[in-house]
Amino acid sequence: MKKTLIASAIAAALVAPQAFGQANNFTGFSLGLNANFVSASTERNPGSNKSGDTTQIANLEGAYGFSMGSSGALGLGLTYNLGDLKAGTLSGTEFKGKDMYSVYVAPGYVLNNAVWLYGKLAYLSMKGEASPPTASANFDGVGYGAGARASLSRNVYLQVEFMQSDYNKKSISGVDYKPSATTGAIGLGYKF
Amino acid sequence: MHRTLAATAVAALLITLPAFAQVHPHIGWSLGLNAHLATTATHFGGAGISATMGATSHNASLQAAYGLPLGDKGMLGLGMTVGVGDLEGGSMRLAGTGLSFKTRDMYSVYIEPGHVLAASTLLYAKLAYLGARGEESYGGATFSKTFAGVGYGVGSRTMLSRHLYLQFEFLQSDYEWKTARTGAFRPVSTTGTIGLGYKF
Repeated sequence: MKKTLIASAIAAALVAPQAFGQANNFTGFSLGLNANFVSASTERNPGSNKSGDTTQIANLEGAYGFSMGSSGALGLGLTYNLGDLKAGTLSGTEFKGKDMYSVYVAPGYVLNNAVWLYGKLAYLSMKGEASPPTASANFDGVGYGAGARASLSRNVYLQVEFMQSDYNKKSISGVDYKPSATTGAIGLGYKF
Repeated sequence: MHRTLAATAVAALLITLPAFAQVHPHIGWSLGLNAHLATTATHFGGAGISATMGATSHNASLQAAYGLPLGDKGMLGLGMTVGVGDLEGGSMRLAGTGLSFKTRDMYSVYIEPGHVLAASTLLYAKLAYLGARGEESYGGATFSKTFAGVGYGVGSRTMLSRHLYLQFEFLQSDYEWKTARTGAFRPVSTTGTIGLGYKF
């Protein structure tokens, strides 16, 4: 799924910019900075324990918006987290997510060229680290959510979003970990 | 804080209802139904250990609100929500026995200042007083306590037609520490919301 999503995003970015006009204020490249409020949970087996924690974390977002008719927009983008995500401590073992990124598609509807309401489907990846002793594994998963992006001026936008993240189960040092999280985000960005 | 917020909300409604004209579509009474996706981290201290449980779950809520105008483009929303369904707060082993926690009977009373953009979309911030019953299950028995807390978040509400609105929101909820049977608990959660409502 990871390769398919990334290939689709790159192919669409290379092929489509010439084919679509600037039909609304949400098409084209944009860069943003988001503040994320995250509560994460990690299911651990054996033991059927569910640990969790809360983190505030920032991420960078780069995206390209395609026009879909006069009132539609399709966003393709990437996010990269600027920090680690705490996902719970149990029996002295802390679990956290590092090097987190997402690749997403976000179809939506543009209202009066001022507000874009969108749904989001994302491929997620992170390095899950348990310590002590420190050991890690790469986790991937799926995120889904919804949000609204509003133009504050011709080039500046404000964005509000929530996303549910569900990662696949992976084993570290004989313990199965299955992380999930709910993220609320507020962000500012620049549309080129 | 609960009484002060509730009294402020009621007083504002009684005083201001007749005084304001309908200057933009978010002014006035509304009723809504929300679907919530939430992850809760429950801090626990007791029996000589401290740990944080956590779980992801979903529930719903009913929302009633009144929007007061703040100039041509501003609004102050006053409202309340009542939760439908429980939220899991995680599980762990305590002295070899399973311990789990959930929050039930959730409600909130909130104020919500916002700004109206073109296309009848309101961007708002929210500050809420939260109430819930926290229930621990340990060794087959359950025990509950009432919890109070504070919620803060942001959201957007868009009129899809003259009376129908769609809303997206996230809320960070911080409850107080309360001692139950096995120890003290403090639930914290992040909730994503999508809702549909009717504006009268």
